Amino acid sequence: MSKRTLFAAIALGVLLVVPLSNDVVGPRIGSKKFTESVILGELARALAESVNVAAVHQRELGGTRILFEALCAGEIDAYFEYTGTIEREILSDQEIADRAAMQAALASKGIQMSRPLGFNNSYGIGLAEARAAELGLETISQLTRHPELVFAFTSEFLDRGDGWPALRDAYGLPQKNVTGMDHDIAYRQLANGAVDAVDVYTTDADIAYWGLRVLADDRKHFPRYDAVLLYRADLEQREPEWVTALLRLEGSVSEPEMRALNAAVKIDRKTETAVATEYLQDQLGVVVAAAEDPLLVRVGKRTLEHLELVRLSFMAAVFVGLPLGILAARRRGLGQVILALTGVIQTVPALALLVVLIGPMAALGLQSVGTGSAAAICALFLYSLLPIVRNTCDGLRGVAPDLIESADALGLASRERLFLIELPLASRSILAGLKTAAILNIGFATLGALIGAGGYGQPILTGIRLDDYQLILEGAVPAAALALLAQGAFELLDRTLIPRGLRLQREA
Amino acid sequence: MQLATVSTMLTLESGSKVFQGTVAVDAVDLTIAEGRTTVLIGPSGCGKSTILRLLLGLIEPTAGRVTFSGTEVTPAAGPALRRRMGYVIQGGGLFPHLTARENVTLMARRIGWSPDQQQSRLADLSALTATPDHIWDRYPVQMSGGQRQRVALMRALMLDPEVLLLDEPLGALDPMVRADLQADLRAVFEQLSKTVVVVTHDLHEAAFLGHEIVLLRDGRIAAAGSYATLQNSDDDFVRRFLAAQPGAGSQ
Repeated sequence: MSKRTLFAAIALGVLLVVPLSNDVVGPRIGSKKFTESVILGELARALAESVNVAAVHQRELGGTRILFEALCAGEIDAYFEYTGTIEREILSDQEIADRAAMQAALASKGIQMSRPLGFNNSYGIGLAEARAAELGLETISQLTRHPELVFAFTSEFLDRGDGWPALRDAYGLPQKNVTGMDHDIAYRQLANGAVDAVDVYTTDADIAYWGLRVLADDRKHFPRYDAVLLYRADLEQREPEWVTALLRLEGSVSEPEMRALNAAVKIDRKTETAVATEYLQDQLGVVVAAAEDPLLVRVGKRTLEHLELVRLSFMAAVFVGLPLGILAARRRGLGQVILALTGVIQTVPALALLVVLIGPMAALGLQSVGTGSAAAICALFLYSLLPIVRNTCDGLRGVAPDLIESADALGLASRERLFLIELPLASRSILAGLKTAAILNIGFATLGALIGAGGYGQPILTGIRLDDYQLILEGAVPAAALALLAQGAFELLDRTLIPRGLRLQREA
Repeated sequence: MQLATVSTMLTLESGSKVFQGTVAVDAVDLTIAEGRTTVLIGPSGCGKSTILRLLLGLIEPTAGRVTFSGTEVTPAAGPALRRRMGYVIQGGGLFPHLTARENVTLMARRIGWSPDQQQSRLADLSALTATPDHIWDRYPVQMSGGQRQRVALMRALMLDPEVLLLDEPLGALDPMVRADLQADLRAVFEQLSKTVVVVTHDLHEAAFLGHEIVLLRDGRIAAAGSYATLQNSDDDFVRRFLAAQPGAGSQ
């Protein structure tokens, strides 16, 4: 082994073993993927700080199901939910007569529910003001007159017990052109005129921001969506002071107040942290320093989170992909199966793969959502396999038959032939596969933010939610830079690992 | 010349090889005598390269058997047995990622020769094949065709094999280099007095190098013996084959 190879091996080993970010310690509050939930999460984190509890806010983990499952699995200790959602979605398989019944049903799962915070954030159907005026629409029942309208709803709303199917049946709505779309993107499409109506949250600042008219729920289809805190029953023993502080929010946040908080983030472009700390100081007299990291520190933290996702998934893909590639090259039939399977994985949409993996990861006792999510790492691992397996297999199959025969004739055993002759000769192709996998992985890792895995994807998603290009760039630019860096690193690695004789051959 | 002491090194006993329904070698009996150079010759597709691979145990006969120094050549015995044979594949088969030295010493290093042992063997070999020392650190891509063939020959000879098998050793070379190397090859064979099997399609080469010439046709032996024996044959195919390459044996 040459000095350079040894150096490369040591560098890889260090990269593999040294932890980049610390494990999450302390109690955890989760939030859903929309502004209000993030603000409430920050309120909870700041309240913890006020009683000297180092709570961690796992931001923007996903939708209701992911959050509730994470709560039940103990991956988070608390999050804010809405009574209508609990009734129609979480406990939709049960008959819930009143709040006491709801509390009892949740308690049987080891979950406590606070009294309402004070505001009702209902679902509503929103149209651009001009469009609503043009069509003369004031109420949901008037929508029956316009079957041609195009609706774009969040996938959660399309799917929920109280969502589109129930609303359609309740009002007899005739619209057929209904698509699923991310909330933040749906608002943009509405502004473009590409869609006519979207589902909105009634306390959402987006209603004012995008100039929407919310249609009246004249048949009282939607229940009340009173915000409440859900927390694990054992949290009262573990962090009694925090729970006491959190419960101070009961009955203290009115609807106009919540709308103002949402607007402060969405329209005034303040951070959720700043908005939450200001609110606590003004309304509850709780003083907490708004600890905002400067840009470089933020980017640095996310870089570590991103590298953690990429590094673990990529290394696993190398250690699994290379042997699979070798196997695929040696056994044709099995090779077809391996290549087909790794190919199929590539076609699974990222969000679907992430969500599917959450359950098994949680069952394995791994942290399934949040920073350093095992589900995100596993998904990235699966996505990285194809280029590695395919290029290893192609590289090995491409070794000239006369060289194989020469190796055999010299009396090299099969293993020696593989390591001394075939792998070095296939090194260019194998390294190209590794490079492709690494660069793809760095890009895909931004999608980990869909389940709160952290990294560069987080500011991108938040930026889309807040319609803030600067924030989008805060994630996109470092992600692109990291990909370029990886490209450069692999070119250096090429010079170390591709045998000189082969590089000369290419130049000749 | 005394022929009485000649003993058998390699045999193919009614060996056949069928590739996907096509008979490449058809029940051939072949005996390679120790210390002699045997040339397998014939038109392309006659089975001469297949016989060479059968003798090396790189492929298994469909029927019949191969013996080497009295041991049957089987896939299980393969690697160990092949270290006692030297093989130069058509085109040389040098590993492009290794220097000349690394190519030649590959197996010696695998079986634990000391650097001194390797170095002294390399010195012997470069003297034997008239190869200049500056070649050792070059990669195959940096060598001429003739140099590559010499390095391939040295690689085959490195472990001092009991038998040397060469498949079209001069096939891809231009005529001048070819003539030089032909003379050098014969000198090497004579100096080492090794058992050698050469496959060629070139009658001049066969006549120049071979003690024994085996003429093959459609997977069978059409004629065998010295060049003179072949010249005196009245077999129609042998006469036509010889007539197609006039001037052979006139060195």
